[in-house]
Amino acid sequence: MDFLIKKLSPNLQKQFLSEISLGVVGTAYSNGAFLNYIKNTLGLKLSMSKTGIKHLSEEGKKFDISTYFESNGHGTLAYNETIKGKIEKLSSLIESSSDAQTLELLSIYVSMFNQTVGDSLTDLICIESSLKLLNMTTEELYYIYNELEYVNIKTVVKDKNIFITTEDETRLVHPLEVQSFIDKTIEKFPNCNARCFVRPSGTEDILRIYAEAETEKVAVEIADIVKKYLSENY
Amino acid sequence: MESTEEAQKYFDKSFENILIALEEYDSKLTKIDKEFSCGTSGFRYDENELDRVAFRIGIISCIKSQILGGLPVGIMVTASHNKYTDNGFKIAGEGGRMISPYWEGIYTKLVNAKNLSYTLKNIIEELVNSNVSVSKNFDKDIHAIVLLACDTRRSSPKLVGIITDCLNILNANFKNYGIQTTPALHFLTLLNQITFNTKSHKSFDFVHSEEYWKFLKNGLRTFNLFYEKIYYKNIERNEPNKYEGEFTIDCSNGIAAYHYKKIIEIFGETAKIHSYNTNYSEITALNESCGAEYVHKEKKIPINYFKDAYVKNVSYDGDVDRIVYL
Repeated sequence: MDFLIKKLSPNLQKQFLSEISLGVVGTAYSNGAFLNYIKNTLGLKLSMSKTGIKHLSEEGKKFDISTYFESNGHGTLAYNETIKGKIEKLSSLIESSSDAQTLELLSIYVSMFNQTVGDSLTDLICIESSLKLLNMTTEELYYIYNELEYVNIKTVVKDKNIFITTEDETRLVHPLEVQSFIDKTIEKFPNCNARCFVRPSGTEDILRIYAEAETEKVAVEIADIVKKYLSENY
Repeated sequence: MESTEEAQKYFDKSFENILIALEEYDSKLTKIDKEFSCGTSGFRYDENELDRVAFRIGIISCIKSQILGGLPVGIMVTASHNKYTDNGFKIAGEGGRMISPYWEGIYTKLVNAKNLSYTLKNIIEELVNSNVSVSKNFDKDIHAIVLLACDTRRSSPKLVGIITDCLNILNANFKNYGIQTTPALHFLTLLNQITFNTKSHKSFDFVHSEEYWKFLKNGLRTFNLFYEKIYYKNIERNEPNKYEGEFTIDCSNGIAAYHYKKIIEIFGETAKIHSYNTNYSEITALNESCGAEYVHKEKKIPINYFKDAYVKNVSYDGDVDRIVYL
């Protein structure tokens, strides 16, 4: 998407971006390196959602065209009904045949996705088409950013219901002591892009602990410290 | 419970007879003493606990369709990436999308109802008076339109059978699409809704399942034609074509396995696909040491993986709504 838009002539590109909002929806489990790439390298709008595909799809509605994916491989690219009309309107600004073709390819690309729900077959078709368009190997795709190492563990607590997270589930609003313990733990590992959060499981009577860092060793260490603290105190 | 005038019209003699028939069938199904809940992706439990849940999901889907003026509603019987002994249900609602939390609550309420007739009447009254209903004059003569599909699990045919019985009692207009992926059922629900909205209710014809595969094939074909004939010529290329048009697909011994020939067909000349874990008839093999969930959670390569000649591997989950590259 981004690649195609940047192929448009500057004037059309500017108009495209002011008429049509593009956004990427991630969750607390989205890899930090991915979020960084979207936000800082590509400069795209990033919106965080609660875990669960229906929440991501809801968050995506804030944009005309949104890409939403969970780290488990569930997601799609969604657009709203105004998009076809908006692209048509932009065609008056076409400056070259390349503009016309790029704009047409953009609407073809967008309409290839299953709009109802995340669909791994349309995703496969579109990823393969994108690789072809970008002239990239899978290996190059893999290395456009270096994924952070992560660990996902669980711990049993007396009452999971006292643990309340922010809307995007990346921080606890209650109990605050736990959040500040996590913050202090993270501070002990500077310069390794460390991140950690806990959230109650939706279905089981447990807490889930997620930790992420440049090395697996650090991620595991953080998760273990937090787990130990939780099982001793809650 | 006091009935409103509109809802009362619905509870006439013929409706009471339907209720009796529903009660009779429902009471013969195994009763499980637990509170069922609707998670992120619908209801998901052990295959032996789901008979009554299936029946009641059938009822609510009919009511949902009727409340929406006969709009087609989809029911997918699947437990996605779970082990082969589980099963479950996902519902495709308005726009073919997943149902809203409000509707999840309605489904959960009936699934867990102690007294089926009483709760069902209650729900209908609530719906008629809510803003989801298309009309305040609930027309019980509207035929519900329901679409069914299922995965390759051993318990799927039985659960589809129970839902079918339910739809027959309620005199619904329905189509069983057989084994389809979850996204395909959602997509077909949307197509049926579009057909429904453009035609009169009487002449409604169900959309053929091939329409989904045509959508995939045409999407890729349109892209390729445009890309190769027009775009490729204009693009300034100083580097060789690096696209790797050959890869392996881990079908997780599920629905992707059932449809793997169709997947290969979509790509045609574009890419050469080698599929494996395609043994969907081996019931215990589903998602076992393979599939998207296994690769993602366990961070392991799927069983039967063959790397040598191919650089790309794609893993699907049991009902083909998730994809992981390896």
